[in-house]
Amino acid sequence: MNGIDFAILAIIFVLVVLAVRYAWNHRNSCGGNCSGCSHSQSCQNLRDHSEKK
Amino acid sequence: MMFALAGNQNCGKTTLFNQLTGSNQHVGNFPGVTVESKEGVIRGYKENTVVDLPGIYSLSPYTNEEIVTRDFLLKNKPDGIINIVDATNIERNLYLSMQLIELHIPMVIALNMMDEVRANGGTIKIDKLQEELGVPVVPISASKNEGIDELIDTAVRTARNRQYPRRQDFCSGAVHRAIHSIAHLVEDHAERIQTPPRFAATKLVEGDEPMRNALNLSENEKDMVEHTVSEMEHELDTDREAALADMRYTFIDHLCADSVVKCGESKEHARSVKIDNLLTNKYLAIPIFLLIMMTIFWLTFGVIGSFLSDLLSEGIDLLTAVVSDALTAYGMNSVVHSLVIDGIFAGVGSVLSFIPTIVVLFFFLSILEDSGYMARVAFVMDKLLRKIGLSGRSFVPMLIGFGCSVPAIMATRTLSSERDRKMTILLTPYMSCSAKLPIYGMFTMAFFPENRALVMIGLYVLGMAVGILMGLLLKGTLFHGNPVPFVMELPNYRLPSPKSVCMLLWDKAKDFLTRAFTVIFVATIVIWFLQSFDTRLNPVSSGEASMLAGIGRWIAPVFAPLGFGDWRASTALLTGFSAKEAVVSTFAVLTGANTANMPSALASVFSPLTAFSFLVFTLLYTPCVAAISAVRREMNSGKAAVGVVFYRQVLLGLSRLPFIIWGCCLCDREDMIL
Repeated sequence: MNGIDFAILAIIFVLVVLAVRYAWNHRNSCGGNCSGCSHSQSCQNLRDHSEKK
Repeated sequence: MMFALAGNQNCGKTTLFNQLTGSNQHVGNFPGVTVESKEGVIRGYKENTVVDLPGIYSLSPYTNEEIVTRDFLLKNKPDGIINIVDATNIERNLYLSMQLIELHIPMVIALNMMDEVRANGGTIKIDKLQEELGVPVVPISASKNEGIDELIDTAVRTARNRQYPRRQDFCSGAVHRAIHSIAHLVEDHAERIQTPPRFAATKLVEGDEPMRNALNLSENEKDMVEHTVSEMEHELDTDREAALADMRYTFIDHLCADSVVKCGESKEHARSVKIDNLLTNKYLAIPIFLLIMMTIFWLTFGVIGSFLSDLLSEGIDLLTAVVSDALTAYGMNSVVHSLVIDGIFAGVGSVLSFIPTIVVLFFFLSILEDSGYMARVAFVMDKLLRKIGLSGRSFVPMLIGFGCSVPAIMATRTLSSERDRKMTILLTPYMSCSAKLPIYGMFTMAFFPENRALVMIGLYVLGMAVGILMGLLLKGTLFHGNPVPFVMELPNYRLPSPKSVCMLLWDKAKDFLTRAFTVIFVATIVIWFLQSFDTRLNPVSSGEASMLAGIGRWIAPVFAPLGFGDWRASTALLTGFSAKEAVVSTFAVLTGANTANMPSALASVFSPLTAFSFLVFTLLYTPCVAAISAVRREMNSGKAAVGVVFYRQVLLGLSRLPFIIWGCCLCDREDMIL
């Protein structure tokens, strides 16, 4: 394996970590499809409020 | 100071709340109930906050929302109430206003939608309203940000100066005598629990059990209250609730006759009535709905969506080929090359190609919703849903379930009856969610290319049919009783807003892309790894010798009676537990196929019959882990979540049904078993 192989693997590893972190941080959220959800506005406001804090 | 924002549903309360607070909001839950609470700082008045209470029609304790609002107003003692009233529907809105006035809290009425009243030629005498109701009335238009500053100033001034309602007594005759005598009787009890005596008396006349319990009356006092109410009922020849409602509406009718010049029926409303004569017709409503849905499905899966998906698939294949060539040119290690191309690109790419189908489907559904037609469908479905023990209100969460079960399960919070809510939660997963669309799309493309739309429609109808059967079963077993009455406002028909449709489509696409690049991405890499190495972590040349094949063969016998005992099929179903789209990416990785040659790759695993059996299985088997978590959360019961997993398994025998039907058609038995 050469340097490019390791670089690609490193990138993939970082992406996996980011994906797992995202899924873990949103584990208690509804899971998506905000467009069809009656609480979507609240979710957005809560996220914005949390981010501001 | 703290203000409570109270009013009917659909009167513009949320719009006003957003105007009052801007982005300075905090969202949470009222304690002990799954009713949302919103609180915000009034812009320009940093020390003043406003709490958005749930939309209610009265202060009687029939629903969680009504209980929460009443408890909040009595226990939290806001400094003022901002009662938002829909000026285009003033009579119904004032019914709540009169009850709020009885709470003896400084109050301002915000008369909303005045722009619509003016546009339709109506007028309202604000001074007359103020004089008769005894509270300030401020005309506003929340959506157009008109009158908001005056409303805030009036509310703050009213609360600061402790300007209580100048009038609370709107009754006469027998009702007046009953309320006043009971108020005197329970005065000390009411003051002990810090409740206005008149409000307590009115609630006792209504037969309000929570109020009766809170006052802690002696037996003698209870008898006297009942005697007084009975005398009133006898004198008026009507029951207590009707007597109070009559009293309030009599006052409201006189008030409106003096102060409201009725606007002519708006053009929008007249047009809506004409359209409803057809779309909610007793005989035509459901056939029209079915025709509309079949047209949407045909356009989505047979024409537009499939064309765009095929186009995107070709683009993804082209990109994959380019990247593969580039990696080869750079001398990439073969294992790393396989990870990137056979794993990530194949897996994630196979899922991404279905974005157009999903976006097109939701484009049409959002048009139906935005136009106001879906509200009619809920109304039309009420009669049918009652046969399985639910009301038309349950239709809305089920409709959301066609997108995703998780928000659908959460949307059941809008159902006031706990019985209806639980039953709807259990039935919603039968509405085939959009995550299964890539699976349906892939198999119909491979095995039923000429009848894609028909097979799709068949699957959705089958899901609903099984849901109905389960509803009948649950109604007769775990959920006896009748659903609550269904009251709903039908908004006027309107042209869908391009902006809101586009926003909805963007949300949908963004959500799908997020899942593809998170859950599916990780699942694809895990599948690739398990499929590319054996138990000693040596790379394998054939998937048959891999770790994944070992796992798959171990569970494959479970699915053999259903016709798809191949280890790849069972492995794909296992990954579907994390996210249904993962079934598609798993097949892509396991068969080593790209989107172009997926049909031939699947043909090595399935026959048309077993493919259809697989589709039925996918339709009915366990929901994804996110949906199961939502069930556990909303029902507050781990057993319920486990039940959702297991009770659906008994239905999996239905996957065998295609074989039974095929056998009845006396077809070649060798086709039945792979």
